[in-house]
Amino acid sequence: MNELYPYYFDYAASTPMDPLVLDEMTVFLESPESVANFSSSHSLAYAVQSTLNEKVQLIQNKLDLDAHELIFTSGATESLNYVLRGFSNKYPNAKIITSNLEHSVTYKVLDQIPLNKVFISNNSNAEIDLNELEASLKVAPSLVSLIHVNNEIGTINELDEVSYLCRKYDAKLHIDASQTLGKTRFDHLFQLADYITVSAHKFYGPKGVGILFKKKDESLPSLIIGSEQFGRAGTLPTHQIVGCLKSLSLIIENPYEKNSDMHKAEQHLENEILACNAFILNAKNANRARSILSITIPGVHAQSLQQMITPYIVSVGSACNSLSAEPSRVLKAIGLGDGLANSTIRISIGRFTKIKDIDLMLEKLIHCSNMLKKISSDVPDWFLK
Amino acid sequence: MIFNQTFRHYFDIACAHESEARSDTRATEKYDKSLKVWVKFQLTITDGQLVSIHFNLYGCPYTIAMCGVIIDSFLGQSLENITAEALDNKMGIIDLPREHFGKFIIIKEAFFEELNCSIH
Repeated sequence: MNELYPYYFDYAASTPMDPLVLDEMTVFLESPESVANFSSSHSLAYAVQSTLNEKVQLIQNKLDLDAHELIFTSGATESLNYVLRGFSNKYPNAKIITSNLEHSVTYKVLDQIPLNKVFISNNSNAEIDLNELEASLKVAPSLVSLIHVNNEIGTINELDEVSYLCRKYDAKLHIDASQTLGKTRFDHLFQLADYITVSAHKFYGPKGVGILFKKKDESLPSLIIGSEQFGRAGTLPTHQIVGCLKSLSLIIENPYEKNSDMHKAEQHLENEILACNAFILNAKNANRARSILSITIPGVHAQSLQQMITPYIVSVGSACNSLSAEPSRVLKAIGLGDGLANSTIRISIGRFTKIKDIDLMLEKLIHCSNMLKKISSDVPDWFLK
Repeated sequence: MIFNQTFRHYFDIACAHESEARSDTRATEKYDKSLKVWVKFQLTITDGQLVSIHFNLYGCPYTIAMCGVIIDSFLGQSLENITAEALDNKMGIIDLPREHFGKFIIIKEAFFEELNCSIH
């Protein structure tokens, strides 16, 4: 299995599905109960209801989730829409507080919402200004929506103080934890937030399914109208949910904190990047998920580098920004100018990344960077900043 | 970015192209900061033939591939074959995405301006 993905360094965009997840989904899909609609009232439907309810209960027990329930969505984009738009619909006079470090989906949704929006500023280590947050929270009701592990630079938002402030001022807290699972500790988030978004394909599960953990005493109007199961209308994609729950249970059983192989790979990658003078590791001194590295190589156009290092796969900014000509908002928020933002790539590793593959990728990365630097050797500094 | 095999071919030609800069200072530079492209050409013409193309460039993979098209099409050619129309036709064949036309114009202008200066 470790040999399956030697060229893949884009785990922050999507992770390969764990073979154990695929096995579990296959067994389920080959069972008679997979045919049934979860909402029906015959014996096969009862069987699938029983199967899913047991799996959900197991997760709730493992995570000690007394206060939260699970809503299965199509992924983080839907969950973000559900929370932000739902809050807006329920509280038309409220405001939404967020940062300049969120996933691009957050800004797209907020653009469509008529509420007041506040963007809390941050420093170059991507730490948000808590005094500014507190000042903004004094006018309630508010929803604070913040990313936990940044998808572009890997910085970790320490949310204990944010959660405390939200409770102090009776605001709701939504955490976008799409990148958290498998990259850092996550179980403490349930003590902090009213809503938590996760997406299965970011933690070795299938694409097209995610979970919105919602406090049981919270309610927001649904985006989709119809008969609801697990808090969402529409026929449940039961096989996807089986895969999602399996990938989640694997993360719970083998948490990041105990994954020494991954720690070694992360350490090795970071050491090698820091040893290369031509590379700038962004937010180097911040508290980071070390499997996501944002690297600026001045003088090298990131998209050209991305092409040149084929078959190795790395990302330019975040995957969702890759088609955009505009430099990443997150990179600009930590102080990079347009030129440097356009010279930034993201390398992200995961459970299946081997140290020898990191070495081979870095060898090619350095070679290609040098070639591109040679091609752009006469470009003036003012153009590159 | 969707980058097809044809462009990859010209991208590789440009990356592999070795040509020393001329010792004199004659060169043509063009740039457009909003398009994020900066390019410089130095050309050597001998006996009515383009015998060397030196380029320096900062830009997306398409801009590198465009330089590869210029090298592949014009290096070693006699001057009467090096025309803007010939380059336009080549770009038409490889189906340059519309959103990159602006960059193509910058590179094309730099190349032909330098060609004209080198001739005279």
